[in-house]
Amino acid sequence: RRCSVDLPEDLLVEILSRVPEAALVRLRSTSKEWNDLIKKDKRLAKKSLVIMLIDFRVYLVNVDLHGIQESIVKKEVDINEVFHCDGLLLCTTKDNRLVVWNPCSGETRWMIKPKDSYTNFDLHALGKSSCNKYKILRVNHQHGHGFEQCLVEYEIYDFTSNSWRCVVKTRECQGFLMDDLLRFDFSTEKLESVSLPVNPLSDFPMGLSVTREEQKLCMLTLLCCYVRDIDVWIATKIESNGSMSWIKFLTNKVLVCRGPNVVSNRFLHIVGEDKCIQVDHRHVAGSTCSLLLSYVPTLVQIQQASLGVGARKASIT
Amino acid sequence: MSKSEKKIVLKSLDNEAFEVEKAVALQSQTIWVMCEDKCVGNEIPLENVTGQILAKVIDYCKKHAVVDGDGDESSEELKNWDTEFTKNMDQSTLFNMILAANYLNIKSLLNLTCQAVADKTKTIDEFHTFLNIENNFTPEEEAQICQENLWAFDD
Repeated sequence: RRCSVDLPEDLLVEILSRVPEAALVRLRSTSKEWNDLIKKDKRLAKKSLVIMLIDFRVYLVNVDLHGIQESIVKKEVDINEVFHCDGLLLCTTKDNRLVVWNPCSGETRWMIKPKDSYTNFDLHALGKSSCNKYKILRVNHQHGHGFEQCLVEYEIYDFTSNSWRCVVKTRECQGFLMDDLLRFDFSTEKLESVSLPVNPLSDFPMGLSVTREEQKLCMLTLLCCYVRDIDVWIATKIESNGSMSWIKFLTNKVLVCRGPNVVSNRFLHIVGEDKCIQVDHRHVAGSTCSLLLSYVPTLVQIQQASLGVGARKASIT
Repeated sequence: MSKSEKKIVLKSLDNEAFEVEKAVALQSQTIWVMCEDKCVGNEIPLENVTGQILAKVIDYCKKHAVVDGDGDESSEELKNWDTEFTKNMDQSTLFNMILAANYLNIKSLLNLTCQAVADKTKTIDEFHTFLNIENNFTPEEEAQICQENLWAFDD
């Protein structure tokens, strides 16, 4: 053995806290001791990353209560929108293509186009079934948008067969008010509506996110008459009839949002227990951030068509 | 202040003595506390640090000390010096430097040496060799980690 010096745990943590996220993720897979050490240490586990989309480029931003540290993730295409699920990003590009990407390992997979090519009104989401299979949901509003009822198709992209299939067809009314939330179950591929924590007439639902540790759904609402009044709700339980229990969030956690009123394109607003800081991101003047996502890096592989992860692993061992 | 008061003697584990300016030595919080408490004379025994490592620590402290208007080196220059300082250290020297910086409580040196280790281990294989990590997962556990989506690279 080459190593003659043993470092105590706290000094190993000192070193590990300076190692890039991606390497840390890999290290967890290398030995039990390291896995345990990284898992139990607050400083390492608490490293918080958010993804920002600024001028069609994806940025990984390290956030703590002292400020932010950001780095661009190289990507040669212009990205319109980003959706995140368990370490993988689904991106729609400016030239209307879909790509699934792991920014941590750099792996990408381009998706084939659905039968109607993408329109601006399409909504996308990336999700995972209970047996750990990633799926893409596409919500396609068939006839424009407006106040009339229109045909809405919910399509699923299957990574194994490399194809789209329609799972739900409904007629929906498009309005200004959001009176419920739609929940899509990626295992059963069923759609159901769940109740909101607030009356949409007085509180405006601003955005949805998940908490970092428990991955609980939370919702930001804005009291309509006072622009600065934000409430955060956390979903605690979903009943079988679709009614959801919500509790109001009391800060002993950290909330990262865009500006004090949640809509700013120029600032990150970090709200902690007894501290609230605003950080301007260092960019060319006029650049705006169009998206903010919480991100946990993993090295999960993107399932390739006809050649699953298992098959790939077997071929190299 | 007389000359003797401005100097201090640091004695290593292997009994090597180093006479240094007080301002140089006081960058160590540990030494600073010892001097404040007046629990030591002009000679400070450092039982955890060898002469070889202590010499390097003193080099670092001399460079970073602000002595009599002597401390106006540009930060850029200091940064380059730091990089050169750790560049050719082998693993055991670096680890001993980390231990010494920790024991002597010199924050900036601890930061520098830990960062140097982190930087030297850019790839996973380097990390393994550098920190002597053995993969001690059984295939079942590896599959479990894979399930948690944490094991997933095939290079």
